[in-house]
Amino acid sequence: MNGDLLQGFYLALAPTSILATALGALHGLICGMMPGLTTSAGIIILFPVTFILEPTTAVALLLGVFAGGMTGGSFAAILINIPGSPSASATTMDGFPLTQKGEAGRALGVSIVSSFTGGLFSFFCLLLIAPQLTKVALQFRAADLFGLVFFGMSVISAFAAKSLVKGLLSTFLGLMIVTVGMDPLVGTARFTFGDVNMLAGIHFIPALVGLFAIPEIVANLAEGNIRSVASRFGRVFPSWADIKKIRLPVAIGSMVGTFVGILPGAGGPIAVFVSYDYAQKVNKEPEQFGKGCVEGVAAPESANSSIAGGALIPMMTLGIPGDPITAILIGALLVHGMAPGPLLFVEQGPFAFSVLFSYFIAICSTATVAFLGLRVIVKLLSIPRSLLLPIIVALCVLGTYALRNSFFDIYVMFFFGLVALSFKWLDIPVVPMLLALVLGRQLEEHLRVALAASKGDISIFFTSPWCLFFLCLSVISFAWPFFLEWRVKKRALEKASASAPSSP
Amino acid sequence: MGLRNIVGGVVILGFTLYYGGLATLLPKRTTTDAPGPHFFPYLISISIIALTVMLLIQGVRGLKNSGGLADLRPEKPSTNENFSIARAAAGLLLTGLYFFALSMFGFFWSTPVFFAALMWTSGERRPLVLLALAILVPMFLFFLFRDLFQLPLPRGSFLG
Repeated sequence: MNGDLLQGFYLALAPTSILATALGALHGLICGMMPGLTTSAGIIILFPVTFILEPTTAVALLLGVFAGGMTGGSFAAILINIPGSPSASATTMDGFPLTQKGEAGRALGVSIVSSFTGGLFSFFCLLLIAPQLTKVALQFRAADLFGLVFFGMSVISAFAAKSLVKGLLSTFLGLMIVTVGMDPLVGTARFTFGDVNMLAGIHFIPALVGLFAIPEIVANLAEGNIRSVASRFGRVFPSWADIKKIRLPVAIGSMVGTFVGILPGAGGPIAVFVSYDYAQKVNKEPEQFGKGCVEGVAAPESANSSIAGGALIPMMTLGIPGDPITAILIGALLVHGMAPGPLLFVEQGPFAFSVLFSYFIAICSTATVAFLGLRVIVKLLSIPRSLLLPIIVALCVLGTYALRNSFFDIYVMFFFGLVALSFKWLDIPVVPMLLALVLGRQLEEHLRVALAASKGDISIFFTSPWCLFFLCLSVISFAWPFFLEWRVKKRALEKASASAPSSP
Repeated sequence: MGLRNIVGGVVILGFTLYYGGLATLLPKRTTTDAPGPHFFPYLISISIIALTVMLLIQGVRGLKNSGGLADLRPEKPSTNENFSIARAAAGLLLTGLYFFALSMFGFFWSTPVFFAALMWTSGERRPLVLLALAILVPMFLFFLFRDLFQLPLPRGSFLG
């Protein structure tokens, strides 16, 4: 393991990897910053480029986008009061008031430093936890793996949607699409309608490009506004007084963000608002929050950034994506023939560790690029969308087509774009469907292999301790939203009864 | 949301019944004791049917508070005066047409036309800027991906 760790470190330190990470960080900062262009879209845009790169360099590039995107989201939140990504929404509360006071540079500097510290904390958690978790995961058999994948999907279904029914519908519709093509065990053609393109199944890359990029393009077209940004914002690097002020909020944000990041489907917005709330509660002057205080920027930004490292833990060790971006990263790794999961550390140890160290370099690159290029990067907020949108569509086409040189994939992308728009209209989340597309084949395979091993006896899922553990967690994740709803209603009733005039 | 849930539920239910029907045609048994290729699609169909019934029930319950057919219209944010559903629909249609045109005319010929059309739809009205960007940017992408990255680009059946 130590040899793999060292080799991984050297791989991540290769000049091409460092350059790729820095370029990825720059791209991520820009994509995360532009409202309507998310980090996911940033990764999708770079897909075609990764096809020509070595796996290590390709992953370094994408991790750069991931880390950069998480930091970039705050720039628009601070400068124009519009979060570049949902996870940057809490940053607007104090970031924009600071800009209004003429202290945009201070807010941006604190945001970059907090993001860097949060990312660093989550990297060390990743480095410490991932190898240990891998050892446990290597003991899993088919039934346990089924339980694990089922848990990953159930937790996303439960937390990604306002309605559990809609979350589950999204998951099962995704599983339905996964069944198209060759049966994973016996190779029978299913739902192919005699079409040779369908035999290989629906590749999830065109699907995820359609699910994420097309709705963003349509939403941007509907909004159609162009913003201008103040180009003067004074000193950016935080003062020593500010650094002292943000120590505690950053610590809170880093811990909350990493923990929430590990939980599949919990989502960035939860972490940023929870850490903002805690930071306010422990602050000596909580009334300053919301009026433009640096602690209100530091807590959510460190949480936002540390989510990335947290989400990489289940992705790398169990093959379960913690959020949409890690789901897309799994897709990118699979394209390069690397399947994330415990076996990756055994069979491709140096590569697996290079991913972890590339994340570290991505955090450092993001901070460096952000400080050095901030004044130029924020000017891009003024790029007219009329030019940006056709470029995104063209890049989506290039990435999708390059996958298998097939027009079929371009049509699949458009089809999934329409599906995503219909889902938006119906308030059905697309993330569970994406996860089903990534994990669905594994779920079916593990389920059927486990049943074959037990000769069709379903008790195998309840006698294996790990499988039972994951199934119990799935039940809890299904019950949790109902419990929260019940608790909110109960509190509201208690408040109402307490405020009602007492009878004489 | 009530009416939307009903419309969505009916469409998904119809689609699932068709899918389930096709699943019945799949082989039931394999040579081993493993469940056959039909097993997973059966599970999926049953689950979706159950969930769709719940969605329909939610939809019927939500009808009391719904605003009738007006609920079927997409929401319009009140904060953005520039918001236009017609522009979004036009952009989507253009994107669909572009994907279709790619198979006939290839990337090189269809992309500048698409760029010009989408830029015009998104509000760019300066003819010189529109024309210059619609030609230069796709050309840059074409040569970047074909010559530098050496990736295959869509080639049309009529024009390469």
